[in-house]
Amino acid sequence: MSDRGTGGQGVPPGAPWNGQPSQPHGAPGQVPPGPGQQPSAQQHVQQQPVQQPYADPASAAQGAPPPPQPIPADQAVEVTPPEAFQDATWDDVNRVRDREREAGYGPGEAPDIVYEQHDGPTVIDTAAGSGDGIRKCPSCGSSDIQLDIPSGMLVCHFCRHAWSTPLATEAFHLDTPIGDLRGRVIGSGSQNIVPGTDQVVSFKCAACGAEISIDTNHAMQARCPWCRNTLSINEQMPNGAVPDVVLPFSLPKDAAVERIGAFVKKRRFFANRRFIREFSPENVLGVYLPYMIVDVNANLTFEGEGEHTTRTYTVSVGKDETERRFDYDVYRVGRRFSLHVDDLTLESASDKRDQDASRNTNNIINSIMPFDTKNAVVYDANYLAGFSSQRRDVDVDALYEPAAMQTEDIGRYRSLDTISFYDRGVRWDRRDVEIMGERWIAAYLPVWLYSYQEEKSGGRKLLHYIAVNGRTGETMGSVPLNMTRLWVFTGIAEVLGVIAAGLSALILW
Amino acid sequence: MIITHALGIALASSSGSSDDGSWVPLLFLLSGPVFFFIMYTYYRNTDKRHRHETETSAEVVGMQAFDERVDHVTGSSYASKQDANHREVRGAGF
Ligand SMILES: [Zn+2]
Ligand SMILES: [Zn+2]
Repeated sequence: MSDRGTGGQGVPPGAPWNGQPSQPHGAPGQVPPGPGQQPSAQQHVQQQPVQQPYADPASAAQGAPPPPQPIPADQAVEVTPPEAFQDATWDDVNRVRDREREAGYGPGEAPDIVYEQHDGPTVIDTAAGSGDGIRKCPSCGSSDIQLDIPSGMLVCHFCRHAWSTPLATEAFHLDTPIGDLRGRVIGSGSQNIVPGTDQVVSFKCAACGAEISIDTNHAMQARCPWCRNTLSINEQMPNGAVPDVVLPFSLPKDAAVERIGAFVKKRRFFANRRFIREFSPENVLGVYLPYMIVDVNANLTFEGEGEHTTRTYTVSVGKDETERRFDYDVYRVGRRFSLHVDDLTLESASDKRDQDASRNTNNIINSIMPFDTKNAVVYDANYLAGFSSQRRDVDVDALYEPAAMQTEDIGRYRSLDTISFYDRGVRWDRRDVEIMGERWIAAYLPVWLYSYQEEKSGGRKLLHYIAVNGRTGETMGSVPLNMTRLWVFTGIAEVLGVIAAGLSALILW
Repeated sequence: MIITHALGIALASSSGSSDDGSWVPLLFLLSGPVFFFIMYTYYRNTDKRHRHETETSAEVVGMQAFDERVDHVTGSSYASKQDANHREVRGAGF
């Protein structure tokens, strides 16, 4: 969630780097290529400061390191860490949160807090001003509010007034340069989940005083049975039910139905017969799935061995037989750079993170990424009206390792155009990721999901998904197979192949 | 997956041998497995995933490099570096 950073400084200061800190090598001009001049390498090498072995990057960076992340005053709220709520009930949590609010540093009147002195992460309060209960239409006061997909706005059913919550990037200042990120910054909706936090939230209906309970595992809204007002869960509780931001659906249901229908239409012949009989794409469900969106400021170092072809020729081996042979140069290769990863997106529901394609079809949901996360808005439960949602149950700590590995992948792929000289490939022996700063935001992202439970022989079940990205319309799916039919046609293909093999052998020999 | 593996071995061994085309008939014998694999993948899409390594926006800052020639090898029968890992993807599927 950031502008492509003009950001900060590059690689951290250190000794000149050539991969051999103990015995610095490298008279200028010793660098490749060797005989036979490979202009492509010259070209890319000249872009790098290779000739003077690796000028101290600190001197290249302008000025002093940037000051620590400032937190806007209206968002700085001292928050009791979730761990303190271990074994607490939701009422306890509420009481403490109330005390904190009344302590005088509510929205707009925050004390000066130096976050860097804290042990834990810097917290961006994304819940300021949100409370559970009735969210009224600002125009007429009705609570009958729903997302209008074509416009992306919340619309009041009663007076048709339309509005939307602000873009999260702007509201929470998520657009500061990624290169300036230091340490861990999280949205308050990304806090660790406290085991034992009650999933059922109870509160009084502000209109009629009735006690209302909402099971946040299944719904974030409920209608008061007495006064018919719609009640919303907006307050962040340490159970992962309320994220920092939401990306509203922009692809209407009929478009999703059409895409799913077209997807299956191309896959009928070998499809499971019962699946085809029961196929009804209009049963597709709109669901907000939980993700973590993370910006990463990392320093990457790669060192290894590259090979560059110098000659290709043919030699004869025995009578009438020839083989290709290759001569090549071997290089020690190193690349070091800062990488500013913008909106890396990770599933944060543990069941969806299991992507073993032999057991489930979660890879289908994974494959419809990316989302246009820049358009996410400040969370409001009214965006969820008429949709389902799944609660996040994975914490930032558990996602750190996957995020670091993906950062390394991204960096390695970004550096590919600097190693094109090594046409035979590079083996990286050292792949270091040093994460300088991270910014985590919990999000609900929109997915149209059609699911079908296949009952396989032997009583095994497999849930097949066909998923449509609720923003981009990207569609992917798993269609259950009629294995008998597929094997029969495989047999036919094999028989034809054997005949063709025989015929071609007759012709060749 | 077993099928892709077998296919890989078959293709690797065939390309490693001589260039006179005598392996072409053998290729036809793979028609069954190839057909099965293509159809299975087309319906089930078990190989699909988010390509985070190319589909995530990211900016490279302050690229430094060294490239030092250390050896010259002649007469290799492989067209590419056998243990190259520059296109490996490690952060997927967990
Ligand atoms: Zn209204
Ligand atoms: Zn009520």
